[in-house]
Amino acid sequence: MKKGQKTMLGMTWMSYLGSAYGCLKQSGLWDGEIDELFGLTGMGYHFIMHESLCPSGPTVYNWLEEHFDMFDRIGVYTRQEFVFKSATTNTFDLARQSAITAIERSIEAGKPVITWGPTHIAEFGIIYGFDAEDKVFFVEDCMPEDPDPLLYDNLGLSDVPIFYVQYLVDKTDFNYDDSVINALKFGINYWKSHVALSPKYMSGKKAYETTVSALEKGDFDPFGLSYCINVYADMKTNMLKFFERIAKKEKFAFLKPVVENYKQVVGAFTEATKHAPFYGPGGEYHYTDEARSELVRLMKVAMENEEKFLSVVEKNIK
Amino acid sequence: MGQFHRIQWIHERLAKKEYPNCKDVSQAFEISRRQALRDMDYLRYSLNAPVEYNRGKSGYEYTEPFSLPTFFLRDQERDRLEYLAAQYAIMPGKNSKELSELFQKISGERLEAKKTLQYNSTDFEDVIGKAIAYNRKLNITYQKRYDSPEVRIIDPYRLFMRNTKTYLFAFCQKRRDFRIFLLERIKRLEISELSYAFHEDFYENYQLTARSFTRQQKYKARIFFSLKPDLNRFTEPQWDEQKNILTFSFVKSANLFQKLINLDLDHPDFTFSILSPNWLKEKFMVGFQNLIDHL
Repeated sequence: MKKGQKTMLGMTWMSYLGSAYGCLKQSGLWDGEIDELFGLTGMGYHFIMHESLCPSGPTVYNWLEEHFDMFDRIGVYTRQEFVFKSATTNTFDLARQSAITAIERSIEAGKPVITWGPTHIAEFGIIYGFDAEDKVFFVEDCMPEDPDPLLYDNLGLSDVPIFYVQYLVDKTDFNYDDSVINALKFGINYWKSHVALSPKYMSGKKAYETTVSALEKGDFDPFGLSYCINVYADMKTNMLKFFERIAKKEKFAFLKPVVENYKQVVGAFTEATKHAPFYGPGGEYHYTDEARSELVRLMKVAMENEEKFLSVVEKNIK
Repeated sequence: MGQFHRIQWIHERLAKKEYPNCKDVSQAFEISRRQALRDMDYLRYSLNAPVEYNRGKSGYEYTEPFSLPTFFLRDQERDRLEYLAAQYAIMPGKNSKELSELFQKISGERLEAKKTLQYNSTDFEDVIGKAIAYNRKLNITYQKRYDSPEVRIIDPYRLFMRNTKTYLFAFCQKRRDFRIFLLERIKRLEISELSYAFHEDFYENYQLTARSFTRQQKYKARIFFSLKPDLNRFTEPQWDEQKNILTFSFVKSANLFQKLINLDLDHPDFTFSILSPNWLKEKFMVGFQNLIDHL
């Protein structure tokens, strides 16, 4: 017998944030808008690029640490399970099997779970239902088609061998303004940290420089470039909406003069998506010299304006 | 001056419509007219150039625009192109056919002209490549990891590398399903006289198993059919003669849906009923409803 309510991802290119939004809404733990979720959790400050501009950039960060903190900033306590299957991992299958009951209980409690790779797409998605007789989980990914369910036996067996599940446990009150500041500080750290999880992945300002350098050399993953530009364009558009929202508050009025800078960031990324359109995984991606030089110019515009924006933020939240 | 330079010289004049003839070539390069004629034949027959003799102009001409190939192939490169041509030839779709013809053209090969398959290599990769190119079944002895060797008859589909090892993706006649064979565990191998037809579930199975290597399980379905379907169209089929129930595996419900709605085209009385899994029943109900709504 099928159990659980169909749960769609929130409308965003960032599959983790989209999954989080869908699960939060379905479980009644959040009633805000998606731009607020980007801003409050801190997810919207991510800008991570691999030196080859491969499409993995947006998902390469410390999931366990950051995902816990993101939900914590909105007062939601979560539990996570994460096992990366390497050649020497012995307990991968045990971890997967032991999670089945926990996922069923969460769904029975009206709380879908966030997971990695519930379908053949290497993105985050949602497990929202199950049928114990068929031994399947009902899932959603970021594609428009209704996906086939996930066999219990295939839980955690995506093309990227990571078993990851995040359960939403409960919520508590939180101070909205404090979380905004907390997330802003996180964003400034990200901007300055330069290196993400692995040395080949750059974050913040360094990610811009890496992108510019790869574009100038012409040595990059064309699919990855298009994918990343579109993901971050969407994310930064949401962040602009968030900054405009909080700048109306007296406490964050210092943002008003520099929101214009962030508009320039979004404008540059929006323009960049025209030079780097995304046609899906099966599409063909070619960049003319003109497109590359235009993308270089736009990335420099975005970097300069984001830096101005964050320097003002930094001065005001100390 | 070698033949390559003479061919270039002839081509330039043909392209400029200067109507060169064998006398011109023999004088320019101080070669015999017979040799010059052989150059013309090479251009026409080996490079497939549209060269014809124009009596009115007393010289040769291109009857349609032509470009010389910008490279010359080694035997090994030619073999690889033949292999690609053969691969695309057996894949469905217009684009595949065009690509096959293109590779044949580049390699100077004509697949249909090859009537017999000859091989003398002891390199298993070479032999398997030939078998794939000519759709031939393979008889192999395979050393299982924790068990004694087994003799299998397989339809070879693809060779691929993973972590420096070479694998063969094939359809196993014994299992009636797709399997991956590690080449270094194949102890004996011979090309059968029997040819195989491409299984329609090839692509989805190849994507599932060869690409991910995470040993994902396939869905299992039980379906009642009023008439016995062609079991070769399914993977791991088990037919219950008494109950007319087929149990089989599948990868994508959308592809199965297409297969099932096409099964009854020649048999008006043909019906089927999905017994399990529940989710497939529900999904097909929605699929059929959508079809009806669009009629």
